[in-house]
Amino acid sequence: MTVVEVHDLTVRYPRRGTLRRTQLTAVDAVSFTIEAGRTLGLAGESGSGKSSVARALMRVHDPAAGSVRVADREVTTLRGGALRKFRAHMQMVFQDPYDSLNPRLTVGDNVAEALTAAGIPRPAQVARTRELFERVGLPAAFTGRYPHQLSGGQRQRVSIARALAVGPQVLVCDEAVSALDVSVRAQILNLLKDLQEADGLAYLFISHDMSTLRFIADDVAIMYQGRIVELGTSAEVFANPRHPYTRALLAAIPQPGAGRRHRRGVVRGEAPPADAELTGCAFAPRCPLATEICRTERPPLEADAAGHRAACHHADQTEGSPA
Amino acid sequence: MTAILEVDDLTVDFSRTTAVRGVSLRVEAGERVGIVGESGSGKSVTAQAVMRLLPPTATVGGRIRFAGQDVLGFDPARLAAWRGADIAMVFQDPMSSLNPLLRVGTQLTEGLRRHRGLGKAAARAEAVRLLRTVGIDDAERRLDDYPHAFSGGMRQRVCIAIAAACTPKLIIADEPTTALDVTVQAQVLDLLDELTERHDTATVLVSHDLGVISSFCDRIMVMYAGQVVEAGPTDDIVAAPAHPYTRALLDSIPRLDGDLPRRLPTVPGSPPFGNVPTGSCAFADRCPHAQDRCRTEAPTMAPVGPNTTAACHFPLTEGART
Repeated sequence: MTVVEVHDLTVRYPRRGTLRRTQLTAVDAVSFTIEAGRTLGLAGESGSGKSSVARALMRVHDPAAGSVRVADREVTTLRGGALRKFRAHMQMVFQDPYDSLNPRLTVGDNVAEALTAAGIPRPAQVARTRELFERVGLPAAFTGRYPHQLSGGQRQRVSIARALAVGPQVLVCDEAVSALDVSVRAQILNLLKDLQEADGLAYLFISHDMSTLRFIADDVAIMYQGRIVELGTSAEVFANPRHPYTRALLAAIPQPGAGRRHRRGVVRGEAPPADAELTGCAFAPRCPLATEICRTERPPLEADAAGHRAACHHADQTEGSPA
Repeated sequence: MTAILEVDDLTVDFSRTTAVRGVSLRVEAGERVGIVGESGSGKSVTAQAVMRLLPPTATVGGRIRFAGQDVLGFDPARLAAWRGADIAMVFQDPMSSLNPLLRVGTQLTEGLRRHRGLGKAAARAEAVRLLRTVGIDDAERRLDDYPHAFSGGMRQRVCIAIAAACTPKLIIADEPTTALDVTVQAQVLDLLDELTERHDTATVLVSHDLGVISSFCDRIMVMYAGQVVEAGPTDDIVAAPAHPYTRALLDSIPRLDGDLPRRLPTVPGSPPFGNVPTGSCAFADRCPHAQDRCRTEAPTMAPVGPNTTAACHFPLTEGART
């Protein structure tokens, strides 16, 4: 069952400091779907637009164009009470649990606040909070503590409990494990997998860390400069990356045991600033395969026989082979 | 080989907590040594102690010798002459380690004029050459830019150029790529590699990322709760870690190839902060192999392989050998 259906989502921000009213396109016609019980991993480097996708989905920032359907309801046009009700379907877990929890409330009250918002009467909240704490692997006695009394991993468990409080079908995790120590990160990733299996939750899991995505995601979308450049099952994307950017991204990751200086030096330069005028393929200036057409014509996101999509004029051609 | 840096039994106490508890480290000329650990492990405090960058509230014990000289005994004048000329540091966030109000050229030539005694024109020419070495195009013009005009990766290149300006014997890099994108991280690590190779500079790389550390360093030290728990050649440790904590660190990184487990192997709990009980192994509470002895006696560093040492009563490599 498709729970999230995003079609041609475009997000623009007003550009500051300019006299003329110009806008910066952070997300450029992005489409994807997420099935119940599955995880879509959204990968990309800083400025690629991955967090803007999350903000638009949650209606934190209104999209400029495109449609977002969650559980078969269009959410881009929701207002007032209907918008509040929609938020019970989709919840978000942020990177830094210290910033996203209210430091003046006990962690139990932090979770109870979400229950109040969902209209659950006060007397029922205590029992429900304890139940939620148990689900995320925290002792019920912790409900009386304050965020600063917990470790980073425990705080992130509270954030997850709060997100689950309203019984959502979709969880948007924006770099939810990036701030955690590696030994703690693994615990939280396991917890998210267990919760998904139990409830059939759909996850949009945003991360810059490809090895985390390989573990958690069923499907992976790679973003570059506001566009999805590759989309496929996790198994396909990691084993047979079709886009040169994806290959560069994977090759640049240092893995323990891969030997010294195995990685590296795959692509030159950095992503252009988000407000750069782009014609053609956004990756062309850094791409080892780029030819004339790449600089003039934007490549469409096209699927191969296996349904593995890539937006590249030279998809499947590898860096070693002649152009 | 001669040791550039010798640290013996370093301890760092802050008013209420002990951050580093008996760390020893030896770096030879041209060597690349990695210190890996999670938050609160004492890895950055160790690096700052070596550079004498800790605040006066910190009590530093033990010995730190640089090319045979006692660093803890340096007076302010000696420190100023030493830093930048013989030893240099690269920090995590290039935006906060560069002065936003000064042109990049001014910051680059400062060390050249002070330590190498170059005149204004000669220093500028050398700065242009340095910027080119770290891969910045149009170096002549970029010298007059302010830090904000550079991207994150470019700023870190500038910081590396400043660190390398006087060809120091040792560069300490504390999480130099943590704030950067992975494709840029690869470029910066390549650059550090090039510099160390060209001038036989030794590098101490501090990072939480075992992948980054193992792709760069000849030898690594794994730190936990202010102590070194395992040390040795990178390849040996990655192939056969002896300390259960090192094993856990390696296991918790999902691989990019091969089969993945449905659940990642984990250790319970999180790294300790502040005071750690003495008289027991600091990792005992989280260790899947802990036995009674681990809770009553602190293990000390002992050989666990031909070139590796670990602080563990029951090293994992023991079973493999017997």
